[in-house]
Amino acid sequence: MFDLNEVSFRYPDAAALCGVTLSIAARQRIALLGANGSGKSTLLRLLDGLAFAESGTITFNGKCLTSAQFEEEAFAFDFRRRVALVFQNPDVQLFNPTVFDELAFAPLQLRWPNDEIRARIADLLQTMGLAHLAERAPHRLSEGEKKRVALASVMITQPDVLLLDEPTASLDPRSRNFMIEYLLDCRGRRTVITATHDLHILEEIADYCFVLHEGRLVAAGAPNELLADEKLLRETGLVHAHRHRHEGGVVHSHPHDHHSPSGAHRHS
Amino acid sequence: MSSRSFLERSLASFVAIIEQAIVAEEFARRDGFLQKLDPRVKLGGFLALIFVSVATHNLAIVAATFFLATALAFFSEISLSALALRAWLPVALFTGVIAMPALFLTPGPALIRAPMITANGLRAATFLIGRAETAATCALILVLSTKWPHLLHALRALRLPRAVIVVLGMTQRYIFFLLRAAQDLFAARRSRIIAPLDGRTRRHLAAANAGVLISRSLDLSGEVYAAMQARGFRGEIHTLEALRMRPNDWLALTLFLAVAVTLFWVGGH
Repeated sequence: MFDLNEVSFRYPDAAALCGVTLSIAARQRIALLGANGSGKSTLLRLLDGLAFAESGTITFNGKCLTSAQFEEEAFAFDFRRRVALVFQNPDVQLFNPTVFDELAFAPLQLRWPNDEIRARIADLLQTMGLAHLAERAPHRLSEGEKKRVALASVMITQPDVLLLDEPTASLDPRSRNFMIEYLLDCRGRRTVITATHDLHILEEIADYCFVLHEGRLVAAGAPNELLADEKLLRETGLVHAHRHRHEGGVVHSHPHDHHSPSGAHRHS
Repeated sequence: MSSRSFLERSLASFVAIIEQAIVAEEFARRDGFLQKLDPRVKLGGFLALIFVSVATHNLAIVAATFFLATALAFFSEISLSALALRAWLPVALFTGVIAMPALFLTPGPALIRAPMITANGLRAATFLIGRAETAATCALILVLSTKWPHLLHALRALRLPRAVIVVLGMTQRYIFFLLRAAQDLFAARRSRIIAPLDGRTRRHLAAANAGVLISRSLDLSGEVYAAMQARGFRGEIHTLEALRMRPNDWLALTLFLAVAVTLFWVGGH
């Protein structure tokens, strides 16, 4: 579905991706792992056609993603319907006056018939437990509700590819569970590419992972293989060593996942 | 003036702007006279009224246009207090400052000797304020009675360039986010100030914060535009309710134009 060949990208002040080569097949669940600033979000933007590779190529179903390609209306419409991105910060994504309008935004851009849009919105609001929020202003919702509305606002077009940027960041356990359940539900039905550094959800949300470090692809493999590679996780900043003083004054260092409470170690 | 009160006032005004925008959408959702009309009719009608108020040389016509617009607001369930707070008062203050010198400097027969106020000066000042109030009232009623995407759609129908529509759409969309960023910035600043600041430091901090906000707003505008693009936005405005001229809309448009032409003709003679 997606093929990246030696893709590089840089922002005015820093390089973001260097020579990334990878392939993603249809209906795969992929995790892009990496510490902050490793290039995960940039890669998602390139996959969504919001930015374009400076060198190298990215193809989607054989078509090269370039700005010229997106000028072609037929391609742009088809791509936007089939590929959807949920931003890390839902506030960026929720810019309409009500939740209902938010859900209507993408189908309206794709010029779907109005009756179909209304029917789909009603259905999705029920499915995602958002019916009671339909007339609420998105910026007044809780963080968990915002994330759910952001997800609904892209799921309305029933995309083949779902790109998620840190979907569980800053969520309470209930909202986090909802998000994980939803991603589990996508298994075998659509391609899901999740950028995350939350190792505790990895095995639930991904079948295969790519590890990025300072803009380079440094490893790839099944979640259990990568999670077992403590050296790799430490080198890429996904875990770090904590020094603890045990009874008797002995100091040990342990790998420690920074991003989940369950990653904490208990010592007696 | 303490730094705390300055910051709190800034925050309060930001929140008020957000609240006003939300209330504005609430007006547009009401079941009033103007809300039922096609946005293109409202846009055309109010533009005609604004033209009359600006072009006429008859003060009575300016007043008639003003009262007509206010009556339309009344029948559209737009409260007069909303008009007073958002248009009448600010316009009176700003235009009043501009118009005041005309009272004293315009040559003509004196109405009052000390200070010297001439009849021509009073007339010029009244015209300026009256025209500004009428134009602002018409524009505000149009915005309050119309959902923002519908208004953009109507502007596009009048062949306003796509780039202008994109800028207007973006402005409305990311203003909430920007204001919230400003609130957070001020709150974070306040939480770190442990002693009263002198005036110079306060001014220095305010300037630095303004710079940060401008830089942040540029980043935000890029982010919001990317989010719009990601969902298929290509510069055109689409609404769920298709714009369709019904008999009532044609009738309203005819009435609007007939009233505007009549006022203009009467004012000219």
